[in-house]
Amino acid sequence: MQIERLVLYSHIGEMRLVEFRLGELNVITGASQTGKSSLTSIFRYCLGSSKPDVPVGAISQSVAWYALLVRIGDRSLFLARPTSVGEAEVSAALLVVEPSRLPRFEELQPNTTAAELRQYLASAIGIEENLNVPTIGQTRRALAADFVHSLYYCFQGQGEIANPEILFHRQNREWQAQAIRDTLPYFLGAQGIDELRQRQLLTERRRELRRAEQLLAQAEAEEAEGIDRAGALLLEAQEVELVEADGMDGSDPPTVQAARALLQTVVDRPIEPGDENDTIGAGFENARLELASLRERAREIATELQGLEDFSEVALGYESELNEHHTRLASIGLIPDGHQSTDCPICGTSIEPGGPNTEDHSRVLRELSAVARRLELAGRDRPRVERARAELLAERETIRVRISELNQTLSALAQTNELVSRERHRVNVQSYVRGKIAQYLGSLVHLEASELVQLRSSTEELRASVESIEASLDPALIRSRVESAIAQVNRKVTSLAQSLNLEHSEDGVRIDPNRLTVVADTESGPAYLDAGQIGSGLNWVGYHLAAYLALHDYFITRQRPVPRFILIDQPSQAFFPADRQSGANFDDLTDTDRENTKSLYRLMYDEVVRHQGALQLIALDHADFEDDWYQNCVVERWRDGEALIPPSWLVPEENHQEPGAREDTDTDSP
Amino acid sequence: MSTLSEISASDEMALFNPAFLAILLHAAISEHEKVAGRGIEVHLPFLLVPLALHQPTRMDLPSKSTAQMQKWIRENPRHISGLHKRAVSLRPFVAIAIRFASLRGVIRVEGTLLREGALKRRPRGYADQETDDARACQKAARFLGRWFGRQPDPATLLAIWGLRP
Repeated sequence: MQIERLVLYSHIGEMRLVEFRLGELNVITGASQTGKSSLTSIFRYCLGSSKPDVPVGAISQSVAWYALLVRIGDRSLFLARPTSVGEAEVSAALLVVEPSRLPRFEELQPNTTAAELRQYLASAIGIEENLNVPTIGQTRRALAADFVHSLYYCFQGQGEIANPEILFHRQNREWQAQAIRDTLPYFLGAQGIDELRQRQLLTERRRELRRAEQLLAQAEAEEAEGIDRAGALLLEAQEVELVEADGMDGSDPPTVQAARALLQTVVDRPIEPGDENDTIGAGFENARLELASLRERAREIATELQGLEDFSEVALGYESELNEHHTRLASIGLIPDGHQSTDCPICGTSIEPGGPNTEDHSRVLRELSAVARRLELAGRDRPRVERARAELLAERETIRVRISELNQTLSALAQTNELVSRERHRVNVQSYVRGKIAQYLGSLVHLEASELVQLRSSTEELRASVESIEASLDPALIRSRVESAIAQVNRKVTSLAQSLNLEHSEDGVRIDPNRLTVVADTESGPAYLDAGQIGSGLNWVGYHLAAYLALHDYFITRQRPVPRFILIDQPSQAFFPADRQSGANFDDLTDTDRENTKSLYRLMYDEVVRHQGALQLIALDHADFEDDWYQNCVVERWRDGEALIPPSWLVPEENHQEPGAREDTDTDSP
Repeated sequence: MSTLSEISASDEMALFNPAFLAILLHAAISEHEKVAGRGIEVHLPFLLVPLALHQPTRMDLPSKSTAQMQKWIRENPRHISGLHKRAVSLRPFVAIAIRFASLRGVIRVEGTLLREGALKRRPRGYADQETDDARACQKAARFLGRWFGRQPDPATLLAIWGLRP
């Protein structure tokens, strides 16, 4: 893939085109703040990133749509993204395959998403399925290299090309270094589509092998212990009376087949329905209830009888007392009736007949009759009490008899119950054994001898197949393939470095695919670029360039699926002091630095020419050498008011807008 | 002197009714006369009746009326201990009974002595309803009549028993 055109659309439909030349070195030379450094972000946005990542300013405010026209092979693709509002991510995208012309602003409508765009581009440049599986013990998810990962090799942004600490684009962002490390093997061709297929095959084969091994083990085990198991089950069946005890000949030990056949008949026999005898239970319950209530009644009777006893006792006592009274009162019967006038022997006064003494007599008589009456009443109670007592005793006797009957009934029922539960138990046990037999028969693998041999040999084959696939997927194998590929890249790195006379280039330099830096193998040991062991300025930029050009050389030769362009932002920055921001004037550099810069460009130019159109380089810089070869490469010159964003776009409507909102250099606030 | 009508408790009324006590008096006096040849002092029934009615005392009375009274008293202090109280509570009943009996001619009054009178003939069935206790009281009354009759000095009799007239 190479870049044909950058197209920017303004909010009112104006178009700004930047034309690039395929297969050549393109230079955009310009002053600071003309939009050069936004190109990396804009390119990435059009190629499917989620945000334009353009700083707030002229560009973000005046551009409505960003678009790239790219060429892949002989096909053109138009990739467009709408601008975002604030920090929001944008997923809308527009993809037109082989546009006959550039779409007009009014025609710009999203027809896909950024994610799908990336997918499309991946397959368009030829990234097939691949998978980097981390070795056991690492916690990363297996990473499939996709389109985004190919872009590591296509950009060297500001702050990257002259940075000794990192070699690759975005290497210093979180997780990116690991992603680079994980996907580099794929892009180098050390790991490919075949591997994925092999991995799937391996999983399948392993499963098949496991199944075959299980089957084999089971069949072999059965061969060994077949008769034991069947025989044991047969004995059990006899014990629980599922099988006649003489169903098997005691003299000849039966064959496995015979035993199994007999067991099969047991399983096949229909199950007899159980004897559901619950009436026993009911009778039991009734008898128990009646017994309980009778016992209760007997207790009541005892209490009542006791009460009667107590009452009788008291009554007797009462009666005997009454008797005493009666007898003494009855003495009146011995007293003569007549009165005699006499003197009171005690007080001497004359006792007259009549008066109080007559009262005494009649009083006694009254008392006598009263007592007699009470006795009579008490006497009447006695038979009543007696009757009650007799009735209670009779009832108690009846109860006793009945209780005895019930106890007999209960013990008879209990015996029957015992029998019933034993029977139920027997049926249960039979069902259990029947179940065991059924399971055994069902799990038999039953192989003929010839089948067994076949199974053995096919298991062996599977085992061999699994082992061979495992061998080919050895991670060590991948590592060595990576090293082999890198070694070829490194040869190129060394030759490019030498042509720039970079420090240590004579010793041989290489890319370390794990550490992701350049290292020179000097006599006194390896010198790492990221450890500051290689000198500054030209060397830093030079090694970055050498590495990238060497990688692309390899990608092109091996036809690896990486876009065939590199966008390089300010190769000359190595020579500018770090604090120089705006207004950097190329003319402030020393001659040496300027010459060195030119030699970098010359290298780029020569490489591009050598590739005969296969590689496209886009460089953004202050530099503007007068040499012809250089001037021929310049596609845009952003000076004296020319910039990425046309000045006219900065005055949006016919009417005014406050100049203070834009980043024009000559503003006066009113 | 109290009358029966003043006595309301029917127990006491029945148990100590004048007819019964009159029978006892008649029995005691009758024996006393046989032994002593004369009537009984009028105050002696107030001692005799409580003794006769008290069952524990009755049980321990000597079998022969010739027994030494003072010796018996000395040997049976427990029967003496409640005697005074019983005598006091029975006094009105005894008095009523004496008067009743004398009016009915069950006993005869001769100066300060009481002499035997006459009882009606026992009606048929009387003996059947007689309780053992009633019979025992009468038997004791008869014994006491004899015992008292053999004492030489009736005047000191009360004092010997610890009672004052």
